Amino acid sequence: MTSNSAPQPRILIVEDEPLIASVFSDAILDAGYAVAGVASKVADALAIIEAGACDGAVLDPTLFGVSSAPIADALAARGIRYLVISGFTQEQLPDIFRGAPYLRKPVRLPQLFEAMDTLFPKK
Amino acid sequence: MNYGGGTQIGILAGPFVESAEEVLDNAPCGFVSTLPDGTIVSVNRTFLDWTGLERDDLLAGQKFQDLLIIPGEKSYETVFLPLLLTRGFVNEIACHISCGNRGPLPVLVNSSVKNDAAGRPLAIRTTVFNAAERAKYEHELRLAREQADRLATIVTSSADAIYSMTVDGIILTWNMGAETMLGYPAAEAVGRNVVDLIVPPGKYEEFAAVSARLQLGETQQLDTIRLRRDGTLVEVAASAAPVYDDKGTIAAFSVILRDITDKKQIMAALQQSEARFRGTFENAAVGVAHVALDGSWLRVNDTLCQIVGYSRETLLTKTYRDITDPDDLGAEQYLVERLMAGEIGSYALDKRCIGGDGSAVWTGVTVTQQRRENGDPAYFIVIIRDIDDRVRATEALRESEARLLYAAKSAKLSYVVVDLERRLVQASENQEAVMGYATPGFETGIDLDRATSVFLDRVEQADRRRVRRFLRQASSGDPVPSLDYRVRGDDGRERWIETRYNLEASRYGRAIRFFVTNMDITDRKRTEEHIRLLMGEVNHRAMNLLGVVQAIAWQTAKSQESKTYVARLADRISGLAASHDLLVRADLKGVEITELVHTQLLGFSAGMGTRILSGGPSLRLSPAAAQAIGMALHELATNATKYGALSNSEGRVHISWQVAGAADGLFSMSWIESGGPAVKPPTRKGFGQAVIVSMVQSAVSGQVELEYAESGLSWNLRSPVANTLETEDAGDSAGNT
Repeated sequence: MTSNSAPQPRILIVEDEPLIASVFSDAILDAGYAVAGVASKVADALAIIEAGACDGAVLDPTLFGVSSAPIADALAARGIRYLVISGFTQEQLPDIFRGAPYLRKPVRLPQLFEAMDTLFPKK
Repeated sequence: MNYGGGTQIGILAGPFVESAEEVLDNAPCGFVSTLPDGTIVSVNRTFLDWTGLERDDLLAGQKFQDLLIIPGEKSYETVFLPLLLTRGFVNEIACHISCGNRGPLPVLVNSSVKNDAAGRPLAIRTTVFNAAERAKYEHELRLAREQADRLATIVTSSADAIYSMTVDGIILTWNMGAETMLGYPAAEAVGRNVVDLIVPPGKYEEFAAVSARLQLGETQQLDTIRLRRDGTLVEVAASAAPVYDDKGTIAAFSVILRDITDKKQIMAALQQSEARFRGTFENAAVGVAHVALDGSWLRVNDTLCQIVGYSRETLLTKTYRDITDPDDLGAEQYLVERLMAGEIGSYALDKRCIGGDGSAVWTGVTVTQQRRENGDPAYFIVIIRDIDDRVRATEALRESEARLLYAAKSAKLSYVVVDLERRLVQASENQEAVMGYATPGFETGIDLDRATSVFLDRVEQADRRRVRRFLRQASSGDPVPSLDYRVRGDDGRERWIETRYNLEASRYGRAIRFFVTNMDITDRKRTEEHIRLLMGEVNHRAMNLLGVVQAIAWQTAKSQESKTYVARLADRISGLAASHDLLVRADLKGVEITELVHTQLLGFSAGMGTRILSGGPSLRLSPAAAQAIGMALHELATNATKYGALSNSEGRVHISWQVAGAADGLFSMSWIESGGPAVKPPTRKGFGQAVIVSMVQSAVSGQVELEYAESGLSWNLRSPVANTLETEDAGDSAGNT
């Protein structure tokens, strides 16, 4: 259900589990956002961010065992908000992710939508 | 013969006529005439004979005084002559005349002065008498008088009471000693009957008996008691003897009493001391013995007999060697030799004594040597204590300590004793092994402050505050159960230590010492940390898995009719569960590919090895790859069963995999169907397609080629080994989100 005229916030999906990424992708589109891309590696995510192609992000803090802290840094440096979604509890996460809005997997879609509405207001 | 003045003396005496001259010359006394200055002018023969001189020698100016030996050199001039000149005569001056080699002759000298008409002295006439006999008598008399005087002095001044009495007991004499000893002055005692005065009634009979014997002429000695004037009694040694008169009859008794009170007391003290010694010896709580130089027992007490387990009679027939354990004998004999040689004054030794029943008893012996007055060894004084219980308890304690230390070592546990009174710290020998650093002197004990400072230096900076607080609490007596902290060893390695305190307090609550145990809990801490990480990982994985399940449910719901939805969902979830199960069983460290293939295809009718053939090297897939490939295999098998090679009875599936190149090489895997019904490509790309293509590609960064050939479907995956397979060193950090 894409909106017709005004460009919607482009959301970057950073997630190493393809099935979940696919669900997020569908859900984000359904919620009326644009998907800036799905990245399962740090480098891929950084490339999209540096290209200025995203306005917000949902972020898995570890990608195949690798920390996605550089992605958080890059987003923060550009003032781009992001939503942390992880199977870890918030206390188990590295410091850099602790201040950010957080949802625990498995995510209920209404929760996701609510958080996104707050973080990434549509125009 | 001409005498001096030429006086003629004629003596006429019956028919025998002698000239006066002859009479004078040979008279039994010496005649000497001198000038007033003593120069001899005339001398008779008798005097010449006495002196042994010739007349001519004497008359050649010899002076009379030079022949006299008068006590004092100047006596003649100062005494004799002045007396003579003033009085005109001297009589019986006792002196000696020199008689040459016959020695001095005692003489009595009488002199008179002859004056001239004017009354001036003209000559001195001197008569000299031989006084040898008389001098001898006088000498004896003097000696007797002196002796009597001495005796009287002795009697008078003696501390003994000396008195005499008549045979009837009337006191005749009473000396000062008697006055002092018995309290009666002589004036009071003399004339009284001795029985009334100083004999106590109890001694009347004895007194009568002694008197009777004295009357028989016997002397008597006895110890008895006499009564003082003040009524007190005095113990005396009495000595009495009869005194005879000129006629030889017993006229009196003399008695000497000596006060023996002191002597009696000394004797009593000696006897008491001897008794005390015997008591000490016999009743001592320790074994006491005198041992002869040859080692035989001279004297033993009961305690010693009890300790060594022999009767006194048996023991006295043995030597100390007989009852000493042969293992201890060498050491003892060496000490005995040194003692005999005077190199040591005494020795102490713990040794085993072999008792009468053959059993060994631990004893502590102390041996000194008794020497004679001339310094020669006389005998040994041996003190023996029974220390059997103590030694055995000590042995047991030592054994138990050794066991404790052994246990402590195995448990990597050391212990430290902190003596708060002496402020001394002592550690078990494995303290260094546990803590990882050496503290010099710790085993024998070092100062508490030093030990604390060495310890705190080793505690990791981050833990130091906690440790200090712990020490403070512990020393103030607060109950503090235990503390975990890190120390840095000499090898630079960090160790986790768990310390526990046990405070030993006095009955009044004062802290006496700490018993501290230190345990190396590094392994436990590591395990705990591992478990903590693992739990986090498992929890995280479970949450992820549920996320995946949720996604499957949504995706399945999108592409399926509601009637097949539940079955399809359940099917997919069980495939996911099977892969997950493998992963967990392998400690989340990847999955053996053969196992994954078998597990995923197990539930399908065709069965492995007949219509489904699989083969390839043994490889371990990473958790992410295992999950994605497992789901893909499950999806492929489901499709094959529904539409493909496994939907009829002849079709086959061939699954294979291999690796080309090393770590940076390529992994490839294929699923090839044949013999099934003719294949038609699907009309739409649903969730199943996503699972077997995009999901796998994303999980392993690989490429999937899917071909719907008419002969059968073929699925080919190629991906970098690094993204697909588990590397050996992946270890604990394996996992994805």
